Amino acid sequence: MEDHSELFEKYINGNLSKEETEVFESKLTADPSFNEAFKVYGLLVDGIIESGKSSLKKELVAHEALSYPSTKKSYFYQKIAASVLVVLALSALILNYSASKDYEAIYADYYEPYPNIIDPINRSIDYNDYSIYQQYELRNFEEIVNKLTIKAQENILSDAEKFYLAQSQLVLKNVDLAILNLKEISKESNFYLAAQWYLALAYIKTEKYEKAESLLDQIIDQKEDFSKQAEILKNLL
Amino acid sequence: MNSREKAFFELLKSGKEDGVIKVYDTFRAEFIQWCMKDFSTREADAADLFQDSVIALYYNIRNERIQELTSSLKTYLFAIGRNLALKKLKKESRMIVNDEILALSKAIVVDDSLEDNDKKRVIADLMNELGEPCQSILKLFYFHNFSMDAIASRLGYKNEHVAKSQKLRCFNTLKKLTLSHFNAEDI
Repeated sequence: MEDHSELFEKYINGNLSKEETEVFESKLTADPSFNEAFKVYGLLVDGIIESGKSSLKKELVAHEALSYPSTKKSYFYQKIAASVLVVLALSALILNYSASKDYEAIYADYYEPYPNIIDPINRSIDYNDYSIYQQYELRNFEEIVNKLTIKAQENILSDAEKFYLAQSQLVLKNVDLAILNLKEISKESNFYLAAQWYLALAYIKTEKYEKAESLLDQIIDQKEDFSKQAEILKNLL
Repeated sequence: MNSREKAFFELLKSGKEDGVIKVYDTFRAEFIQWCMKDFSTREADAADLFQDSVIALYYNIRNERIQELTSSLKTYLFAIGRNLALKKLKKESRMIVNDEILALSKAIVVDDSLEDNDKKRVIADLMNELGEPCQSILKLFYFHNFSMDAIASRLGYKNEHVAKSQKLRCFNTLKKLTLSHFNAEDI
């Protein structure tokens, strides 16, 4: 197929003269291959625009998740001793969700991006020297995914890097990829328990409810971090 | 339009990276409260609608669909939000939304896009296979509507001609990927 994209761009942007426009339009009617090329061009441009909107949407979703977390019901990572309140809230939540089992809503209410606990931003250092974790704090999720995915291909990711890669993928809604990375975090890692919790949430998001339930059971049995939240969540499924 | 709103409009028009976030943070609370009250949505759904409305506003301004606002930026943003909320409610059948009302609403807010469209989504997915710098260059040109000169400067190309050649190569690669995915009748 001959390349006419520059001509198509000029036509769409109204940059052809009156005579050129007339020639263009009569060619569209008379020449089927030219007409087809124009349709393909339009489709490609629409797809690129859709891709641009989708990227911006991901940025805004990430901004919303990190800048406005106050509406979420559970702040699991704050590890506050709120068990009494949680149990009280639980009965209300069970009543609320059990009517329709809205798994998407359950995920939305329980999913909260994990904070950067490795090396919080120190304003005195130069932006270019920020670590992956500081970039995470700055919500540069796509950049983190790009960098760590390259590193992952060489099999040199630490458990912490796998964890924050998965976190970034969850924010960007690449849940299946996040699952793969979360599953790879070793039992010896400090991030193991948190990874199990996020894995359970990711299973809910991807509608693998049996896997989610089984994992929540394991978290509950361990009686460590996240077991309270897991118990509540399990009762909602 | 007051001077603060005019400043926001110019910020979005300029395509500066922090413009969208500033607009987001400024109007979020009021929009979400309004959306929850008027359309009985949950907060998460209101936030979703707000994001789509901000994107539509940004796209329309950057692509000169709105060259100057005849009403305030907030009015325009909320009108887009209203249109999207009505569509969403209609889709969910939670509210009987007369087509006439929807058409009227559309007429008020112009095209807010973000419609479901399988082909567009497939091509958007194919964009992921392109990698960099193609993704950035195509999005900067076709979505953000930056000039080739501005793209050359942002992405570190020697001049606009080099950036333009690269854009053409990227576009053709995407075309090949697309044509191998669809047959002629599909298009």
